[in-house]
Amino acid sequence: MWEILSYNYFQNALMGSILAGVGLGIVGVWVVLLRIPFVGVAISHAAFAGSVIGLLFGVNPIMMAIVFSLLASISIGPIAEKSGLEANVIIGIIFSLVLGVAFLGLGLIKGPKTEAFNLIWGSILTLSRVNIYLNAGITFLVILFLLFLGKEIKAVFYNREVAMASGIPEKFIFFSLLFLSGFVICLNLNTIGGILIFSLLINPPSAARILTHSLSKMYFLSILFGIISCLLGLIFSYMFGVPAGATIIIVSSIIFIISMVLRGRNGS
Amino acid sequence: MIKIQKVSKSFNSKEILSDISLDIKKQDFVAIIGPNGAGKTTLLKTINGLIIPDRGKVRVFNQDPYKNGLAVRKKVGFIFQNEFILKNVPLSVKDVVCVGRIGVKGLFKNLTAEDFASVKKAMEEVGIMELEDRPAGFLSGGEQRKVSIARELARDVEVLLLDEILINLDPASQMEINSLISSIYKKHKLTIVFVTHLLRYLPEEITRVVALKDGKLFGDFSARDVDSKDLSRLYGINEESLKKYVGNFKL
Repeated sequence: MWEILSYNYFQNALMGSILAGVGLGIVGVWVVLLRIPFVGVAISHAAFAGSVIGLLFGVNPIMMAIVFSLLASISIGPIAEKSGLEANVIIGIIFSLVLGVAFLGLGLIKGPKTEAFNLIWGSILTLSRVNIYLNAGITFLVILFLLFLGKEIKAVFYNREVAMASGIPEKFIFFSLLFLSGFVICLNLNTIGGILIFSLLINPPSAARILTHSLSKMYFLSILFGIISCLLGLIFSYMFGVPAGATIIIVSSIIFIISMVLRGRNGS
Repeated sequence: MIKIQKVSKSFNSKEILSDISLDIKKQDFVAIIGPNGAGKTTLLKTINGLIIPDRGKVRVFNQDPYKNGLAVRKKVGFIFQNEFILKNVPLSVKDVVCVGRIGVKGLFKNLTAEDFASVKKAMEEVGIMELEDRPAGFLSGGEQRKVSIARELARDVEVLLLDEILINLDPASQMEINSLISSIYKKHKLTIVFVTHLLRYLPEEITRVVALKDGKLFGDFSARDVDSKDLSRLYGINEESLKKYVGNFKL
């Protein structure tokens, strides 16, 4: 089994798994505590719409996917602010819009659409070094943001209005959290796929939240569960010859169930 | 200290504040009263720049609280009426009180031993040291109010804006929070603006009562002058019924 580690594609997959575990583990905590879990679905479908439009107009579909998902993530906060509606409602509107654009594009494309669908299903075993560098870059940025603005992020989780009234630039923090979450989700679409990424975004932080009342421990456990889910999922996928995205999600769901059982036993 | 000059504000074409002028001096303890929808909370939010007036001028420490929001808010504390802590957010009581120091500290700076000393002092003063490590989302209403008060005390503010902080509390907790606010007022020599509906439980130290009705200034009384006749006109109910409800209103 160990000879697999000498293959480039598997090394890339391993690194991609660890980076996905760390990046999604952190932004998952943000998404769960801000109560906007569906941001993952909206961003991934924005990426899908972007890649479809890219294919339609002969532009690099991956680049278009990144542009579309960043546009989606950057617009949620300001639109919610301007309209006075909840961020969740705006996420729903953006989701339906990008889905409409994607379906329209699919109807108009005459040739193969595989590249666009790759973003929906994911293909961890085809990750390139460029993918890894991009993921490492955004993961590093997210860690820096957390290290330098962790206390302000904590205040925003507690209560946005109180944070603002306390002299904290809460809009900047809130919009940055949305933007960075979108960026991480977008760059991990190749790893896990647009549909399955939702589970990796929600399961590790939720399992962590069940086990602790401390925010720093929640970050730590969420990252740990994210990495374990990705690595074990990848190993099981290799051992049983099944799709990696699916095994990663099943492992992360099992971790969530184990956390529930442990919490039940501790009675906390 | 706080100057409000001819301030008006509308939402959805409805005028919530209309031509309000008010001058609040250092160490004033002002109660703002009035029927629902009178504009009390809106007025309070214009003071720390959370709402921008359509017309008129607000100055706090000679600064525009909207344009210099971050600077003004470092000296002005605010406790909101529906300020509850979500159960899903894993923060301890100490974490929440620390939020008070975060805005004062500024971006990219960690809280220091001095900040934690302020937090500890505030928790001791409010009497919540034994709750320090408890998950904040699982406290009672009265305890949550004390945590909010400690949070603002930890900031060393000069002005405290309190928006119906007695709402949803049982009478014992209302009395306890009132006496806490009174002792904080006396000890820290703060300027306090206290929006309330609960006329029965106004803190004894109140120096002024400002009454709003339909977004207009109905009256600006010294605490000794306001009586049930004024209140009867303010709320549009007869004096006898009002007396039965709030007692003999005389501070």
